[in-house]
Amino acid sequence: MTSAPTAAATTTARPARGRRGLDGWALAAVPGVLFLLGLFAYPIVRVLLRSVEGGTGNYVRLAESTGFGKILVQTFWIAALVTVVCLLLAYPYALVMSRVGGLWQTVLIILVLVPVWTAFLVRSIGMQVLLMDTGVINRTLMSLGAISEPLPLIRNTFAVTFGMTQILLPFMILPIYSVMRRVRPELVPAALSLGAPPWRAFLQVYVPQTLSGVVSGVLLVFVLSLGFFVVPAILGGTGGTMIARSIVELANRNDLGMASTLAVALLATTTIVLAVGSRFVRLNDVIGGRR
Amino acid sequence: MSASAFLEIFDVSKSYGTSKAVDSVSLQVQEGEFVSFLGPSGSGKTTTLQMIAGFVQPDAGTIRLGNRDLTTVPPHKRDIGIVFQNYALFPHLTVAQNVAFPLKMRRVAASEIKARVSRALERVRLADFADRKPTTLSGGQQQRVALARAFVFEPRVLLMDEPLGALDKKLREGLQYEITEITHSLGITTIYVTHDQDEALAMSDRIAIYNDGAIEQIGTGRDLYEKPASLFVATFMGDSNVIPGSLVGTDGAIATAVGQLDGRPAPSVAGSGDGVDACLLVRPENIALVAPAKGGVGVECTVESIVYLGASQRVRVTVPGLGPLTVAQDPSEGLADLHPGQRVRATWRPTDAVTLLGSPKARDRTPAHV
Repeated sequence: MTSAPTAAATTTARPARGRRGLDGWALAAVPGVLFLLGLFAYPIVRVLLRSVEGGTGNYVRLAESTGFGKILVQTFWIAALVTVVCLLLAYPYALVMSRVGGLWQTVLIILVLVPVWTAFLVRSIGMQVLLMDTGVINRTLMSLGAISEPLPLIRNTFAVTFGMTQILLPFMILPIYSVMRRVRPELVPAALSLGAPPWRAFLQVYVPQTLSGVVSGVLLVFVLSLGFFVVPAILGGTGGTMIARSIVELANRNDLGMASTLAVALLATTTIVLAVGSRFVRLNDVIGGRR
Repeated sequence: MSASAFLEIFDVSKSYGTSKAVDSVSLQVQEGEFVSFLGPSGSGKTTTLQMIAGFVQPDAGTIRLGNRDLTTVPPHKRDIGIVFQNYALFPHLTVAQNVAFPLKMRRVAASEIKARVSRALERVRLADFADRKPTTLSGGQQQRVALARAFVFEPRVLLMDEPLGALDKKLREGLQYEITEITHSLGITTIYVTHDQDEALAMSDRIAIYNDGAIEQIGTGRDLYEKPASLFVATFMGDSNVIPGSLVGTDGAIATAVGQLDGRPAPSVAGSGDGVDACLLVRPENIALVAPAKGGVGVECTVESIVYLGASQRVRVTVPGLGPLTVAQDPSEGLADLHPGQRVRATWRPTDAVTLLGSPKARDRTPAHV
């Protein structure tokens, strides 16, 4: 996962915890604190400083360049698209998963979890094989005579959205599922008995109980999407560039100042999204804490 | 089927797999009546309630409400209010919004909703809590909100599924009174599921005793207590002493290990012949302990223990060849200085003893809890 959102989530979550007296056991946290300070806080400060090395020139360049602006907008657009598609797929899936029992529930949970245990890179390359012009889908359709030219399945926004949805779907399903499991089963029957038709009982009574899970999933997927690198790099080509890829390219060209500036821009926007989002849901819930 | 019945359940059955949850239950409830379903858990009372509510489809039988066949009507069109054990209040809505919910679903005008909601909340003494979220209320208050929400739309029937089950005893008694007060003054027909016999006795016009998926007997609390139709009803309602034996003749006499005893025959006894397993039921408060020399219907016994309970005392006696009996008596009456080991005679009026078919299972044979 990308470092920017993780670091942001951790630092924002800390004040939410209750303050208790510290004792000797607090020393056990020292290695973790040092690790985070050394490997997240310090580099972030370095990146911040580097972006303003020699004045605000880099930021002026960012503001004036249409290229970077376009990539930033495209990054948000793809992240939003991935989030919406994930939500549409995840909500019914989680609903079924929370309703069925026994074997079916196990099967559905395994279907969610196994991909999470498989490397992003491997899955991205797998999807490349599926989507490319001479890939499985295009070859099959062409041999069937359904199309004569390969469909534009790769090197565009579609490919990136498709690939990222495939990878991020579990991060939408799991928080929604965990909230659905806690919805009291008698609420919908109660609504029905009070005269609500089934669809109104669902929309006005069931769905509101699951909103905290939806917000959690949306935040998680959106923020993870913003900083995604692997999928856009493999499936995006020139058509589906996202900002993390631009940062890496700039760094490779040794333009560390501009790379840092983009990284800061990404971190800043991510922080804003989290800040706005956390007005609706406690970050503790997103990272698995319970009330 | 009587034409005047308001809610009519006719020969309704429901099975889950091979087990029959409800087995040919029929029941008629008059308009405005308060009927309790009383029975052990798993006896079919909640399943019957859910079939009336429409959450469970009966395999067979019909349910009619005011001359309309409800059997296939979906729950939201039945016009039946339900109070659940766990309140089932909507956590995202305020108390007032919860109570307004059924009215909104019925597209009642906003001004009328406001008036009816505040009337209902006053009725359950929660007017000051209208804008609170349900989770900030105590259990008893939440259940009163649930009650207001269930009657505010003037349903044809009110169903309550162990609504006081999650509350402590003191609170329960107050709410029992409050619920019956409200349902009677509004004239709502009510079905109330409980496994607490005191609750059923305190609240109901009639009680249906459930056992094993069927109604064993239905009647007023007094009927069930004084004229139980079966051994199950007799032992389920209140404390009882059960003396096993076999029928002699048809007038309710039975032959027991301590000789022949007379009793009032339950209707089911008629038509059964000599020698059929039967038993005599005598309530602890109907037994008097007298000096052994005195006559009267009864048995010789030895005092085992005496437990003083304030208004009454429970005396446990042992009958040779028969086992223990429990006697409840006024501490100031009966034999003076009763003590353990004393030989006495336990007597009762033959009309207070009921002869029932069947032989007690080991569980039922144990006399009343002291």
